[in-house]
Amino acid sequence: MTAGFSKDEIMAVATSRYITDGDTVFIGTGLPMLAAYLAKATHAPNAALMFESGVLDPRPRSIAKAVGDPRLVSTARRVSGMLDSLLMLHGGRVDLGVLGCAQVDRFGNINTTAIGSYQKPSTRLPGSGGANDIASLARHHVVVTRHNRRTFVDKVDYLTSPGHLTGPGARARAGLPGGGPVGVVTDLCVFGFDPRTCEMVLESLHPGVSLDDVRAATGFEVIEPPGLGETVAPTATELDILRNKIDPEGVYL
Amino acid sequence: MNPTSKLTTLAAAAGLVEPGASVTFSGFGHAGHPLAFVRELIRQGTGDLTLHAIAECWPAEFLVAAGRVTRINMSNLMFEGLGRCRAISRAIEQGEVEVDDHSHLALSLRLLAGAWNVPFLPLRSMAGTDLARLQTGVRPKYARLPSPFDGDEVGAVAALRPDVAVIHVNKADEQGNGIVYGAISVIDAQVRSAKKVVVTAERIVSAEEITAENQAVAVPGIFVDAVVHAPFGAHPGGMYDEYDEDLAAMSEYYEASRSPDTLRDYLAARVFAFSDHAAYLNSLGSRRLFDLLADPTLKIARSAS
Repeated sequence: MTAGFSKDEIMAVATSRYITDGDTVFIGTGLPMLAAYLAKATHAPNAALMFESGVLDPRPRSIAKAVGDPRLVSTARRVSGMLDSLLMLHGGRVDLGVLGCAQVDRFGNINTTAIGSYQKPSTRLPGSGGANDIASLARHHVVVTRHNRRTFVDKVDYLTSPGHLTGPGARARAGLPGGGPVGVVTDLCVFGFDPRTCEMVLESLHPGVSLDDVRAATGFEVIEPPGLGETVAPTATELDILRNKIDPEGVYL
Repeated sequence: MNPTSKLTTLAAAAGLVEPGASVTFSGFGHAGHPLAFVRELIRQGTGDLTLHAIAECWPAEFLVAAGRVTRINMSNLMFEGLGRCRAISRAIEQGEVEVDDHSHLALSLRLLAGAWNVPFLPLRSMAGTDLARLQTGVRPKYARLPSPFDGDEVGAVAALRPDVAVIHVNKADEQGNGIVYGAISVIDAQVRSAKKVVVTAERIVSAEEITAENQAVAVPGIFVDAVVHAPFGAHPGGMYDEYDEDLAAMSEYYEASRSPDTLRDYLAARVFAFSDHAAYLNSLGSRRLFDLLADPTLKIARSAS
């Protein structure tokens, strides 16, 4: 805990601010789910959540522990299957995706497949799942991850899900329809992307975090933008909703 | 004349999977996996399998733990809330199992292409990434081609035809028309693309009961070769509208998966120790199974709500 909120709490709150009222948001479990519920409980009551399991627009009575959780399935407005949900995404109907990662580079390219070589990795990770589809096809997406040098790397060992690939124009040349990442939320700061270079650029530091803290935890050069601000701290209302309404059992917080 | 029943035993149905076959299973997260079937398949010793694994983490993990898998065409294998599938991760890290990675949609569309009997289907995801670039399969999975209509380039994924699909359903009639409540994951494409289909069912019901809810039939009986009655057939995972996952039993496996030695002990005690599924359920006891039953309104066990 720093200054009355935890790292997970400021990450959930900062992520929720990317969700606009009326958005269709493609998410998984964990912090992204907390962020989406928080947005629905505050500024985006008309956001609809979509899960790769085929669950659309659930209003669960208690926090779901998995994407296929009965708590989601039994309160969704529609339940179908993976082809149905992912082809709606393919058709361009998803406004925002929220993704985690094991490695991310300065263009927002993500690795969730393997650390080391692909065929004989030092650590085999779960794989893409729907993440590549979301990063390829959603209008935009946000990356949420803990901040350290193992994660923020110069080059990802395996490029699972596309950020801005090699820079300006690369996504369009590859034939990717979605707009790519617009933000990276960590436990230290929030990054945006410079539209000219497509590289990650520091947007705000969380309260109590210094630029040196971020540099020490990042494996590529962190550029200080003019007028670097502080991340707006979670409000008492946001913290109350997160702790007492969304996750009172402390499943994720 | 009544239609012929496809009802058979778990042992006979598992015999449809031959050594070296390619197999795909139902299941997503911790629910809907045909694990009674998987335990029987492990007991029969069938090996050298190729898996087309989209979300069936438990069947894939059990079969890899038992050393029965050579290749996996996969998109995502992990245990939500627990962590990595340790036997699978270890086997890949040690080069014992070969993998070819896909996005969920890519692997789903490969099965759908097989189901539709077309050589490929177009796909816009995977472009520009290592999922498209690194192809380790016997045949390529991904290519790019110009649209025949406007010349614009688009990605394409190659059709897959699994030898066997094994699908666990809430209820089925004796011809294999199966109803699945909740999300169906990819079973529509799995059933239609596979050369043989096995349905394991919590309940075997009359044709009239299936007809009364015919919009919920996810598995058309015309595709099905064998039907097996397998109550609690997804244990230690759950089955939507039937029972919750057995968290204690899942944790027992997950702890055992930390090392090959403890895994061997687990398989001996929880798979090989029983001659069949009935003996497995007996070992759990009716009290434990009863406590897992889902409340018909909340769809979760009372103890978990």
